[in-house]
Amino acid sequence: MDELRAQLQEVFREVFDDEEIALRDEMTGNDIEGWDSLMHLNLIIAVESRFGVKFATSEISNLRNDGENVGSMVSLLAKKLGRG
Amino acid sequence: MNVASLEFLLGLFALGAAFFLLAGHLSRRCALFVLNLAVLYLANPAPLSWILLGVFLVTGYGTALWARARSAKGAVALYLAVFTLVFVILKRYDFLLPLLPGLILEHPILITGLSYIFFRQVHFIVDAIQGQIENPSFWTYLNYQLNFFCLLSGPIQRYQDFASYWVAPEPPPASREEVLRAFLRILMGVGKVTVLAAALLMAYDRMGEWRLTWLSQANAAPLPVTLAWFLGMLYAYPLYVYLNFAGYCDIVIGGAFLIGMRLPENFDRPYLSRNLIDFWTRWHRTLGFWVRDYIFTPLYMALAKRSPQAASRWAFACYFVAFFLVGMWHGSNLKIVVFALLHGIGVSAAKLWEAWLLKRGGRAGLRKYLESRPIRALAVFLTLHYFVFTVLFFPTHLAAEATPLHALLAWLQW
Repeated sequence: MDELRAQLQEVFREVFDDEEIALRDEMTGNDIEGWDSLMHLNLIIAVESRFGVKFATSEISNLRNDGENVGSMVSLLAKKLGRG
Repeated sequence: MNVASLEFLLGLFALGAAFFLLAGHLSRRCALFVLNLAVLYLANPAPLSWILLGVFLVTGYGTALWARARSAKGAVALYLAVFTLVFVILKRYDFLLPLLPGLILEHPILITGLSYIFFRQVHFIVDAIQGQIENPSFWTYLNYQLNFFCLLSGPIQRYQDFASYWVAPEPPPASREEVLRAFLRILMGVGKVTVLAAALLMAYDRMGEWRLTWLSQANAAPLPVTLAWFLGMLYAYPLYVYLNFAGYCDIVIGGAFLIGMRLPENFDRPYLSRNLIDFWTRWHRTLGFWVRDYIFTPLYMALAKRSPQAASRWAFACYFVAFFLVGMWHGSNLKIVVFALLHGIGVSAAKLWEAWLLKRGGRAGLRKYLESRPIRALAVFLTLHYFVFTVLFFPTHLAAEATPLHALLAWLQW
């Protein structure tokens, strides 16, 4: 999981063009500047491309719901990669 | 069917009082099923409409299950295209007149809640083939589609939320306070619909009659009177639409709560939105989220994956397309095209403005801009008035000459 988080951090840094992002599971859209609905889709596209996975429409929107955070994305990704 | 009518409200209270007296989930589900059919029948008893509705529901459910088992996305796309075409014909959109033989649009079929059935069906099919709905049963699906709380005008509940209630219903409201809060919500909804919205509509109609009287007389009304009339008309109708729809939602959300069903909220102070994108996350929210998930997201992701360098430019186009379609859904005459164009342009302009701010001041500059209270107040004022302006093109029941749009065009001598 730690390796997955590290890889995901690289994707975040690339998408948000910010080398100082240090991902923590409890982080939400409010903790990363510019994480709006459009950047969320750009992030999903980058994650899909990096990890070779595909997110369903409802998964994409659910990840933006109240109560969801980076940890939710890590868990979902791990599940898709069979590492969960 | 009027959800603020005495018959409906008494029925709702009786349901709330008796529902948990029924023994077991099955009897409660059967009672709801019978009620769903009864409301549907009262709203529209025409056999032809029931047959067509049955075809819609059976083919939608069947397509979802069949395509899910075979990953047949092409077949789903074809079904959705045909389904959309039939939906558009049944809605009798005037812009189809030059494209289709007139007879096709002169059909007698009226399906109650057709738009909402359409939205729910698209969501169900897409989520089912993407593996987001596990083992859907036709019994659950049928009641999801016909759920009388959401049948007439939403909110657009997601299948997963309905199914979790249907399979394992919530217990009765835990405390007396919760029950009272639900009744208060219903009461507030009734007040919005039957007092405030009704008074506004009456005033709007009366002002429309004044305009017709002035037009029939040789002497026009003095300029200050005309201006006051125009402003009255300008604000009355958007306020009426809001109170009427929000009141309806209060009644059905409060009513559903009495039987343990949680429906999604549909409004969040929309007239305090700071731009039109924000507006569509606060006004008819479940429609805005549906459009985001089933039009904007797939369209943007497909285009951005194909040409990543042009992704930001595609975003503006996708915002325009998605909210142009939302606008078009709101009516069937040609004026609605202008309403739709203004909404498409409004959301694209909001995104363009944000991109310009970001380019000019960076993320820090954008944050400062968003945190400024005077700028927020100005943004809210401008968004409200932009929306109010778009409503000039919204179809109403008044004669064209009685509307503020007609007066505006006459003043502009257009």
